[in-house]
Amino acid sequence: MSALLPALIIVPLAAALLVALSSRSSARVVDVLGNLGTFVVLGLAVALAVPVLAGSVASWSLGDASPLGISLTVDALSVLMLLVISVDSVAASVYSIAYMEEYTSKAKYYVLFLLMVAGMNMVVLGADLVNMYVGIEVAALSCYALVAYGLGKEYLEASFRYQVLGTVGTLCLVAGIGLLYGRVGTVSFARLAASGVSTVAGIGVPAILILSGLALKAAFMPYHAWLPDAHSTAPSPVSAMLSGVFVKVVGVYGLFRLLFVVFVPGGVLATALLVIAALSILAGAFLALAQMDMKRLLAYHTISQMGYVLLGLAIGTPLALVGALFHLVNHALFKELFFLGAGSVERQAGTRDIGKLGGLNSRMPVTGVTSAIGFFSISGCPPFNGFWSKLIIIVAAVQAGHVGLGVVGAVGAILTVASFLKYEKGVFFGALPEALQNVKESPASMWVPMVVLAVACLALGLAFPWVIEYLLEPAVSAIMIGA
Amino acid sequence: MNALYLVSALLIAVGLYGVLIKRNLFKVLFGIVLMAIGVAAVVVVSGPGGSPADAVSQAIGLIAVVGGGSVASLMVVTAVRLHEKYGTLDIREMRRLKG
Repeated sequence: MSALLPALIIVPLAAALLVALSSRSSARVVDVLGNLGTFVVLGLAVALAVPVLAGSVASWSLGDASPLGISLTVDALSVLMLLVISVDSVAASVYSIAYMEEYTSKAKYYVLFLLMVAGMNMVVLGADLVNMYVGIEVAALSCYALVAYGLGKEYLEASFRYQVLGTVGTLCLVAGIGLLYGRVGTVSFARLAASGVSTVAGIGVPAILILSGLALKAAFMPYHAWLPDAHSTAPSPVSAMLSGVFVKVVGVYGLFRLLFVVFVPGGVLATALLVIAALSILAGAFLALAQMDMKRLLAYHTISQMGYVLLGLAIGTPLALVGALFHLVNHALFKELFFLGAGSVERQAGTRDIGKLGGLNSRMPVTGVTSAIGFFSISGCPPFNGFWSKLIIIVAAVQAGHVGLGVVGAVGAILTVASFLKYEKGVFFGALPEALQNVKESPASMWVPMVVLAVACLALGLAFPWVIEYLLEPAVSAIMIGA
Repeated sequence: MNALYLVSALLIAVGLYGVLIKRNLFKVLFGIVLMAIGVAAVVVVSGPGGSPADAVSQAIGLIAVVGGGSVASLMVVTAVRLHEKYGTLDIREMRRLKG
């Protein structure tokens, strides 16, 4: 089983190499190789998930002892993130077959995409902070290039801004990791958890640096400036990966890992996290409400939904952590669904301006129905998945004595409904404009991933007791080890 | 030791000034590079017990430099492409994107 750990990083890297080598051959070969890479990663992740969720753990290392060598380890939290990464990347890569036709070089796209997957897998499998950092850097570099992929003015500009802010974030992170190592003499997650680091004097500066670095990567509210541009200008499958998975893996995952080691719920830093969470929920939703561009609305909305995840995380009770992880999984599903839907509308109708669209339900029925399912999930209608996770987070906030934060959560949910009512009404309902009479549904390779994600949204909502028992609770106990 | 801390702090401060204040894409890029070097220096200097000889601290510092360098090369490419499109490196003349 432990051979699966390096395989999860090597397979996407090898697939990237194969795609690069075959870039001169036909587009079909490139499509097959690129998608084969993501499907094999999904298979490996499932093969690893079954024994790990049943209670076993595995680790693998190369070379010297951590952190000079490379050591990987897997627990229920890593497995949960691996499943999220691989399901979303399979959906995005299948969708790319048709969607990326309009761009020049598909091979280069798949290479960058697979490098991003390899980097993210490394983040969640790394046994220490240094491995996590290297994974973040690899994934981030491919992401910067993917945002600039269209090479138009706005792509390059969004990418440059993202590169500057993202690098400031990774530099904060690496400075924090280095200073933390200087104070406590280890960077391994297991040893950090066992050593009672949070009581070491002077832990504040490294902790604040790590927190700022991760918050910049996760685009929480005062750190969000890069997100709307980067997420809305990138090609749609890339936007879907960025909003659906990337911000969670490179930003929030590290916070989960270090929550009880460094930040400690109830302490000053955890209180700061609560404030950031409340700010993100409200401001993100308000800004989303004002947008007229489909993808910008979705991008701002990501900030708000990541606020919910952070809220659950910072409260830090087992129930709140279940809610936070559940919302993370749900958001990965429905935000990916929305971005793929927005890409489908943009490709078929030629615009993503909500003011110029309307009535597309009659022309694009599959995109319309899956988007409606996404709407019910994101706005928290029972029995869809988003209802349970938001409910759990709000209940956990009230239980922990943060009634005000529970109210913030509820207000955020109402603002979410409002912004997505605007989105649905402006794009899929109402009168069909003259110019859009001849719009057709997108090809099957684009709508099949959307249908799969929509079914997953409903299935997770209906099966929520089992999801919590078999998937989320083991992950929460993995987080609580350091408590 | 204190002098080394001072130098790293100075590098980071100058770099941050470049990133926040300068309007030329390449000056922003130099700011990033200076910050990366400053961060690497501060990580190496602050090894366990204040000893710069620690192998792990040096490795982390090295990773910071490598990360900064790879981003810098990508930023050069992006800046050159932006210059091709706009004919200028001034960030104020590139406001295609809203807020």
